Amino acid sequence: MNTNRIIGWAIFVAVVGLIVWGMIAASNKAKNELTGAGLPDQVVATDWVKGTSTAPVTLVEYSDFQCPACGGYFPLVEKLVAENPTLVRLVYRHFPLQQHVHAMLAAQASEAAGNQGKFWEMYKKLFETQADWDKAADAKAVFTGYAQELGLDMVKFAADIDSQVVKDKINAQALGGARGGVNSTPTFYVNGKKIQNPQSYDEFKKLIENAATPAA
Amino acid sequence: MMNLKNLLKTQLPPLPKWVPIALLTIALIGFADATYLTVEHYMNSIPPCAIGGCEIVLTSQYSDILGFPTSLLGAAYYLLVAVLIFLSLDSKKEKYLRYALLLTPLGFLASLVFVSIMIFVLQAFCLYCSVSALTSTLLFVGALVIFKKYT
Repeated sequence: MNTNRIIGWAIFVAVVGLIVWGMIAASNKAKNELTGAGLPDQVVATDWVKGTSTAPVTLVEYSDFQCPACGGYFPLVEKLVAENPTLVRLVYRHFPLQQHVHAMLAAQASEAAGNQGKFWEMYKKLFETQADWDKAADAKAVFTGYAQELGLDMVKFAADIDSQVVKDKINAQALGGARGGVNSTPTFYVNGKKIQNPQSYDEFKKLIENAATPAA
Repeated sequence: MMNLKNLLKTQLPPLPKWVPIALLTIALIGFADATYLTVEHYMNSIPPCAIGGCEIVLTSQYSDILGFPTSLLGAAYYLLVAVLIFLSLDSKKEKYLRYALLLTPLGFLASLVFVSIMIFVLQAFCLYCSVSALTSTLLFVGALVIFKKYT
């Protein structure tokens, strides 16, 4: 093999290596892009909040009931709030994605339940049974069944699930999120700053604990 | 009708140099795209749902073949095609280019199957997957034109 051919192959291998490195960097950059970005909208009275108001850490989640990743994070977030009640409170905001055909209706069902003081019960039910209604032909019937199980006033639920007020609230949260740079679900903000999605419960807990301790 | 046995043996005449270089570039674009998806597959234990709907495709049962992410197989395919094309450029032996071209129907058929699954089964669209379908189609069309013209 002469020198030119060796150089040629070296360049080829370098190009392939560069592509692999570039793609890893691109993937990382996409994740880091808005890390640290500010929370799109401040927490207001109409937000659903779980936990004590004195908790030093506020975790805001932009989520979609039909998103498998949101369903995947649900047990982690539940455990986080349940096990660290003095540390963290959760704020849930709607960000239904278009490709999830029942996501909007699920959000409406949660708000309708919320109007009767059972938002978090419906939230739990929807995530726990996500795989059951994900492909359902008549998701409304499924959600109505859940409302019944939760002992809701069914006349009010039926009116609220389709009400414009409920739809407007969901759309306003999603629109606010989109304006603030939310482009995937779940997106988490810890004390007003966007975080990279933790890959495990321990990583998540550490993040919360660090946020609770003011930087030296 | 083209005969595979003949194709394996028939020598291609010297092609203008831009032809293999163009094919190599397309293969490397396909490689970059498939590599990106593979990296995403391994770096996210829980892939988030993004505007656009890739996660429906990338988390479906079709995103893995025998335990390997489909994108990894795609990346291996594009890399093999690229290496063969480069080998023929480097060694000035046309047979390597011929082997690369003979591989392209595989990539094209795989893309055809996956695009059909995307449209008819999953009813979801994923840009990154479509880029790969495009590059594999371009490689296949390039191979068809070359064989049609010179054999």
